[in-house]
Amino acid sequence: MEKVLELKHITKKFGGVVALDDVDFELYENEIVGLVGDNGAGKSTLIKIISGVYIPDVGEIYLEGKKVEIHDPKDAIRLGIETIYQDLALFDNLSASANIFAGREITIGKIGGILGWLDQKKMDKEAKLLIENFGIEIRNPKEEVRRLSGGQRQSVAISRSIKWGNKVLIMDEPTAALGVKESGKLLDLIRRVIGNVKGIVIISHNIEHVIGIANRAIVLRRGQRVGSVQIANRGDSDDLHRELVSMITGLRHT
Amino acid sequence: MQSGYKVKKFFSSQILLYSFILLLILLSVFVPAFFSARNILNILRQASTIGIIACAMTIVLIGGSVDLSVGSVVGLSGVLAISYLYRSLWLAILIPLLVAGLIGFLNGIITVKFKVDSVIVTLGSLAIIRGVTLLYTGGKMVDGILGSPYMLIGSGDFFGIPKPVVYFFFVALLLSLLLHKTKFGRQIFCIGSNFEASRTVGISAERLKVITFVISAVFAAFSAILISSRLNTASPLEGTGYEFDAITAVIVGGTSLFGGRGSLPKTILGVLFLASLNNAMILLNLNFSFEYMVKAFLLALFVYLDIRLKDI
Repeated sequence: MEKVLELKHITKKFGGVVALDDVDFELYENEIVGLVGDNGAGKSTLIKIISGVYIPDVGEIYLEGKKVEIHDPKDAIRLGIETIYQDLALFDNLSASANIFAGREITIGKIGGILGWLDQKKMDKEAKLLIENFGIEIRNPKEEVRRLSGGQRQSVAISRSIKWGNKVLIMDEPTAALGVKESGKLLDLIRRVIGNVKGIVIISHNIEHVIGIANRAIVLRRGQRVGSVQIANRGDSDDLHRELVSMITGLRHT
Repeated sequence: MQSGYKVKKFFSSQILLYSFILLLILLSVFVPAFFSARNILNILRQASTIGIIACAMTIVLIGGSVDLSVGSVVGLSGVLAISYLYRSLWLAILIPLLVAGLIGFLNGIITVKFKVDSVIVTLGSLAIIRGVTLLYTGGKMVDGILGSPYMLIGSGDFFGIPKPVVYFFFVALLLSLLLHKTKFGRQIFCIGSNFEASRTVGISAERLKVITFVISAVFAAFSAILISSRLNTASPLEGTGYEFDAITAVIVGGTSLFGGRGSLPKTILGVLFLASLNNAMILLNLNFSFEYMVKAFLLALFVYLDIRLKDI
């Protein structure tokens, strides 16, 4: 299986604090990897390095086998890596369509660039298709997204990312603010979305959700990689749960 | 709950229109001579000055900032225009526009790069520019050249319609299309709605914000050129309070102080509403301070509605 994304020997320090210490990370094609670990483990730092917010002190990044330099978020976007942070970065008082096409609006006619005439119909139509494709119901696509539920807002954010970034999708604690039912819907959505990108990385505190959605989990503890755990082939949820918790906390559970 | 939301939304979006219609009905009954063609044209002509500034201000507000320096820019621009009239007609037009553009650029850069709130930055420019203007003229008015073609810019009519009204119409049309139909306009809504998210999706948020200040200042200068060409004179105090009037019109029109939401056609409605009210108070011989109080009350009312209806 090919590696879509690989990080080797990543070290990142902030002043005297070592956030990441010689960490390796790999994401295979069509994989959903759960990045887990306690607070301060370095999960956030690692994905910020992938998405271009931080530059590692030591280490390399490989995308589809080729070494890449990611110096800022625009580099990551250009390479097809899209990140959805917890705040979703949505425009609350704009419609789903406006949100999906923000910054990349479709224009009609010859006058190009920033003064181009908006092709509202086309954008609305494509947005509707994109959202329906994922089986999400949004009653009125012209409605302001702040009127939507947490799960629907997530779907708009995901639709936006999928449309523009087709290599790696990173999601930071997607189910953190959602209730049980909504989390379930979101996890279903993520399962449908995996066909549209080469690989997905999900940070989550919620081990149940990780077990439910990911093929594999990579565990970090105090800036170091503890190990990688196959999830897909394990039927035994309790055992798996215990193994993950013990790797995360460093304590042995019986 | 759902129907309550719909009612509130409809109400808030149409409240101005209905208030305006109501106002016109009341005025036509209680104020003689209000609806004469002459008076209507008068209202429109007076509305043009603030109207042009308010249209540009709408863009600034939707982009998430505010420009309090427009009144001072009007003062400086008028003075510069008349002063340079003695050198050349073209300089009289170009210099104020260029200087205003520079002022807008500076307002924008300081707001964006130094991360100072636009209220503070433009409050500072308001004071500094007014001071510079007063120093430059020694506190005196500047008189133009009688019979100069410069006067043709703002005086007279195009086919029976006062020239300032025609300019107002075209500015309103141009900026409406820019704001509501172009990619540029849509991105202005984005930066006003969520500046950081705009950067995340690759919008040149900082550049766009600076541009809004440039637009505001340049149209203020344009307005000043119209005024000074009509009066053939420029006062260093011209424009005092214009920022208040323009912002009032924009807020009454329904654009939010919080950014990211608003409408240029509605600003025009706000401008006409206030101009009609103004005109009626003058026809009724009401006290100047009464007029001021009414405007202040309306501003307070619409800001209150803006805040209350924000989360509906």
